[in-house]
Amino acid sequence: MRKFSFGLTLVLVMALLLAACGGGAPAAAPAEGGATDAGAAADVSAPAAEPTPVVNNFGQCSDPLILWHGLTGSDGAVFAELLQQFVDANPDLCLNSEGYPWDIFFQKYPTAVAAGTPPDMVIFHAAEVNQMASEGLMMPMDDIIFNDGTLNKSDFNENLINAITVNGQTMAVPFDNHGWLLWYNTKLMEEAGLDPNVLPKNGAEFIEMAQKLTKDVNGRHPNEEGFDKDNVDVWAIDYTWPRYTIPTTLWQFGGGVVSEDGKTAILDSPESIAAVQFWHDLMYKYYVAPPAIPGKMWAGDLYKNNKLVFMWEGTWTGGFMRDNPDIAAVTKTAYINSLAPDGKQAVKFDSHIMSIPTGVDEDGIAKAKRLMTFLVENGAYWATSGQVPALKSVQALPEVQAIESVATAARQFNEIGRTDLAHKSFIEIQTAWETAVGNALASPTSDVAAALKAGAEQVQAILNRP
Amino acid sequence: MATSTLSSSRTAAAQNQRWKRLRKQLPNYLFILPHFFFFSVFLLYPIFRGLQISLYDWKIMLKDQAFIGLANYQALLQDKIFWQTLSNTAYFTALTVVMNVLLALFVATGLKHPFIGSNFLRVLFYAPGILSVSVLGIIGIRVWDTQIGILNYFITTMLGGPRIAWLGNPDMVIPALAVTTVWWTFGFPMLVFIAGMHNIPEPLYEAAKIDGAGPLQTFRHITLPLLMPTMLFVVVTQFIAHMQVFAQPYIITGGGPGNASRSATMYLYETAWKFFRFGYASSISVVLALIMIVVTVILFTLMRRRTEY
Repeated sequence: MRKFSFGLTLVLVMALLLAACGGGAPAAAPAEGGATDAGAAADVSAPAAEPTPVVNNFGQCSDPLILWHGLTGSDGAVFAELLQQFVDANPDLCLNSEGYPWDIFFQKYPTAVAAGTPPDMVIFHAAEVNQMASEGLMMPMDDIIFNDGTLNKSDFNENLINAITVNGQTMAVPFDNHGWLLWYNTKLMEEAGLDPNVLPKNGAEFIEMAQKLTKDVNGRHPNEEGFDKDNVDVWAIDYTWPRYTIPTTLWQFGGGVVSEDGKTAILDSPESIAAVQFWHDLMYKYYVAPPAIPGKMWAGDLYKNNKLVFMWEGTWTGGFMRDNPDIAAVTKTAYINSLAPDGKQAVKFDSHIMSIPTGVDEDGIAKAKRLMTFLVENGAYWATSGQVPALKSVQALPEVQAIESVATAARQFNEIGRTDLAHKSFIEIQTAWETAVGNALASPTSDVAAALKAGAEQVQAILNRP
Repeated sequence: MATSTLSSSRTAAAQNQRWKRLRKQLPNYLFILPHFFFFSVFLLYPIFRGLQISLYDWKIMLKDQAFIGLANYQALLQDKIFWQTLSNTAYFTALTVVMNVLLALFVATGLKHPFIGSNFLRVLFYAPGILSVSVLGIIGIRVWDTQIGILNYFITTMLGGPRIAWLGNPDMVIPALAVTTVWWTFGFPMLVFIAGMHNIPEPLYEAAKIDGAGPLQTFRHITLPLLMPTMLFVVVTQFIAHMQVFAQPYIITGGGPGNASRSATMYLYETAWKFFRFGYASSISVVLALIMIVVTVILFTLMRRRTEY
């Protein structure tokens, strides 16, 4: 009887716990490429994307091409369709596609190469190419795919090709261009008495507009007496993800993380401090952006519920809009609005790049080359995920131009797009500046200049290493 | 001659004794062997390999690694982030261990004797410990979130207070993580304390009662001293476990704001697997292990005194 009552108690407690944990638990927001980023995971929460199997097999054969990537979110579904199309068009090949969260990917990739058992092909980001190439993990692609004319290097974004060129060798093949885009809610703009076709051109215009757009639960605006900053109903803008928001703003203000020659940290330059201070002011002085603190609600959740007007988010948000037709119906896209005093435009973009790990044999190289060529040439289908095709000639196709967000993003990246500075310690530099900016924006009293100075010192120490 | 014969026969007898003892102990070694094999391959070898790697500027694809002696350790001494993450970890560990021990002791005292519902409460208090750390992380975000967190909901809606940035304030983030961890882990020390209390002879309590000792005096002069071996076990295991904290800050705060909640093991992981500085990461792990060994020895020295009546 005692055992029975103990067991019953255990079952009851389990049931209570499961009930407490079940339903509505927030997952990390879909980061670029659909996977979640370890660092960003804590900053955001959003409904989980439709799960894509980690391992997918396409076609039947004894020696499949092994592909590792991080496209596990909603765009992963489109990617899987593309891979199926590839094996349909190439019946002599079959594929084993393995998708991992990026942090797991970057544990498996170097260890597999070091162990002499690499996959035939990997997909990650252009920004990380220099580091991976410096570690000896990638094969140069010039002799494999560019020099024989299979792909034309000049048909890709020039900035991007520069970013993935290490010591004069192009180390990867871009699959897409992806990055920041302005998604804005026309309904909320109209409700605030603003014309959705007239967007702010500089920081001052933006603040003026943002104060009209932001309102608390009582309908008061931040520049009005009695505004309740703890109970804001509609925010004008959200910080979203510093990895894209901060470089974009730094470049708009004429600052940056590292100088163009890659030798000097400029995170504490007057321009950089002004850029980050602008975000600090938006959060804590003008109250038009939610504070950037760990665990804050993901911008997409605010946007979906008509509580955010200007959303700086990735091109991959195309999938989110497809899943949320009501909000998509009142959404338009535009170039990222400048926050700089002089209205200088700049935006960060990156790319999913395809590469062949060191140690892959001739057969694997040949198979990977065929898949890479197929994926690049069929970028129009990939555009249905919201990402911009890598080839400019594909970007110009009518079916791509018909997707408003993709067409806008493609123009934007080609005109004002910039990539992160390539460096062999890229990820460490990125972690250092993200931490510094996190400190700068942590609270109303945080000292922006001091935080950025500490960050710059750390970045400089990394740059100074042999 | 006689002396020599006597000596050789003694030697032979001693050898015979040793051989007999060895034959008798052989099964013990055989029982240990399988574990020792895996222990050596998966623990001893990596430990020595880690020590070796910490002396190199280790690049994953290089065949000839560059030996740099103690340079990684010298750099570590000047690494502000390492010291900050170590300080964060020590603060978190101190908070968590103290709260866990006090709370577990308090609850164990209440649940020592059976009463209606005591089994239910024991299971209830232990139950969070069966959750995976990922689930704990999600619950933590739900509780502490500034905008949609349960805690701020009660503070703002029911008490009319301000929204508090529990995870955004560098001064509050580690206590918030520690409280979350205590909720998750205090069930185990509670059970250990209950078991320890049951080992204390009941006549001692009866004698104390006859002598007129109150509950507090009984607790202070009987329960607490006789619980010291259990206390040592709890404190040491809790200290070692919480010094290795990783997943709670990794999932709930990402180490932020800034580096305010980044733990030493998070930094170690990032240094190895994000920055690919394996030699430097190994030196971090060696220093962390040394710190844990030293503190454990100090704890043993301070707390190993046994009280007997």
